[in-house]
This record gives sequence, structure tokens and C-alpha cells, in this order.
Amino acid sequence: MEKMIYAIVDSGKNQDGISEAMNCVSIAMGLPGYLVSYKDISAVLGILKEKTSNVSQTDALEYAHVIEKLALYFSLLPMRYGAIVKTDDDVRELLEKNYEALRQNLQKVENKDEFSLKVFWDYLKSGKKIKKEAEYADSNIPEAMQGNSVHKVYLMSKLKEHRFETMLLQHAEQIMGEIGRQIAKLTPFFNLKKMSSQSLIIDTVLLLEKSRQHELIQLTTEIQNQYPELKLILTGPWPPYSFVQITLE
Amino acid sequence: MQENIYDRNKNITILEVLDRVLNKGVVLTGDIVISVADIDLIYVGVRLLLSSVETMEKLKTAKKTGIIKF
Repeated sequence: MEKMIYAIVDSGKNQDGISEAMNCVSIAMGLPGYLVSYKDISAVLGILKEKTSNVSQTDALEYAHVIEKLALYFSLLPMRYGAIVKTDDDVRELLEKNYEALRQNLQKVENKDEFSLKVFWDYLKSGKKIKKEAEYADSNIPEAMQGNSVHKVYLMSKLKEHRFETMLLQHAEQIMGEIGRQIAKLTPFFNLKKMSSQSLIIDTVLLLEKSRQHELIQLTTEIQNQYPELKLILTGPWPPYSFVQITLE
Repeated sequence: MQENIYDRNKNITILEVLDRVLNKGVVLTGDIVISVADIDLIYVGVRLLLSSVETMEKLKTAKKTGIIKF
């Protein structure tokens, strides 16, 4: 019979919550979940009722729901969806072989939650604001480029376009730098991607002490007030999916 | 109006959940894994959802300005 691994948990620290946590798995799978342990860490498994030939979006969402519930009871390392194995012995061997790496990762995520902050900007709206400054800079045009001939007019328009784009990029860089610095004050564990697309200027995930959640919400509110033209989307708390980059073999 | 905002936020949250479950977390490889079919299909769905969020933003801007830029 096939079994799905949901997460690796720090079972040594919450023996009392084990049976309740296993019930979370049964809600999704129909059968109670169970633990396969090695020392103080365990894998949470659920038995699959049927072969998983067709996976739907609902299955993936249910899987996420179980991990979220388990996170209420344990420090955990979520498994990427699709970790299906045949025997418990394989899992035990896996835990034994990777014990040190798993333990280190569990320590890293202990008492922490993951959050995501996405910052969108309206390219046109921000551009309008910058355009005024760019127009001021336009008054400072080299003499050699002034005139009404076709090629001078063309060069002039290209120069203006270039100045505008440079100023817009500088403005974006300034915002990105400021937000990056503020996040770094909250936690050393964050990944910040800049300019993922023309509208998504910052895409960041951070791992934050549970007790500092309110500081992140406050920071997000402050940034929003400081830059009303931006659209900020803060999501979380999530189990630490983005901070457990390990491959088990 | 409120419903529109709710729907949009719900979509973004689903996108975030799927992105994590399918693209992040501890990866298991090797002989003991039995691969799950059709995961790629779900992931294509996630990418489409991401595109639709961006398109939605552009259309919202276009409604105000009358200009659509892709």
C-alpha cells in the first residue's frame, strides 16, 4: 500500500499532541496518520486509499491544510507534494541517514513562521510622478543635440526616453533598498527577489520569530503609508516551506 | 465591490499555497519514491493564475487610463 509523507517533525518535544495531530491526517485521507520515528524526529505518514494517478488542485490544497494543522503541534519541515513511498523501513532509513541535516533544519525553524511580502507598483502611475522630474532634467540638453532637423529630433526623443527610464529605475531601486533594509532589521532569514516582472518589484519570503509577527504587520503598514502608490500583499503565517531547501535521498 | 476584493485575495492565497506545496519544501528523490502523475499540470495552473493576477492589475490600470500595455 502506498504512503504519503507530509512532514518531518520534531516529535521529541510534543509527545502529548501526537494523537491529535494524527487525526488531522485522517480528515484528509480517511485513515489516521502515523509516525515513523528515529531518535527524536519523526516522519508523518498517511496511507493512500487508492493509487494517485490523477492529482487535482483540491488534493494539493488538502495536503497543505494537513501540514498547516501539524504545524500547530510541532516544529516541522514540510515535504514537497508527491513524496510517496512503499514501506516504513525505507522512511526510517531515510531519517537515520539524514538525521543531522534534518535536526539542524528543525532547530532553524523552531518557533518561527514564514511570511511572504509582495510589492506591486503601478508602472504608469509611478511613471507619471517621475515624468515631472524628468522634464526638469530635459531642460539640460547638450547644445549639439538642439535643433529641428529630423535626426536631432529623433536623438532628443531617445535621450528623453532614456533619462525617464533611468530615473524610474532609480526610484524603484530606492524603494527596494529601503524595504530590504527594514526587513533585514526584523530577521536575518529572508530571500528577496527584485523586479520579478514589470509590476512585481519585490517578492520576498522571510522566516520570523512567532513573537515578532506584529512587528512585520506594523512595518508593512508603515511602508504602505510611506508609498501609497504601491500595492503590498502580505501573506502568512505559513509553515516554513521556503526555508527547508534539502533533498533527501 | 467587497466581493471582488475577496475573490482576488482568495485567488492570491490559493496561488501562494500551491506554489509552496508543489515547488518548495523538502524534496525526496531516489528509488524509494513513487512519483505522482500530473503534478506538472497543476503547476501550469499556478503559472496561469500568476499571469491572471498581473493581467488583472493591468486591466485595472487600463480602466482608469484607457491604455493597456502588455
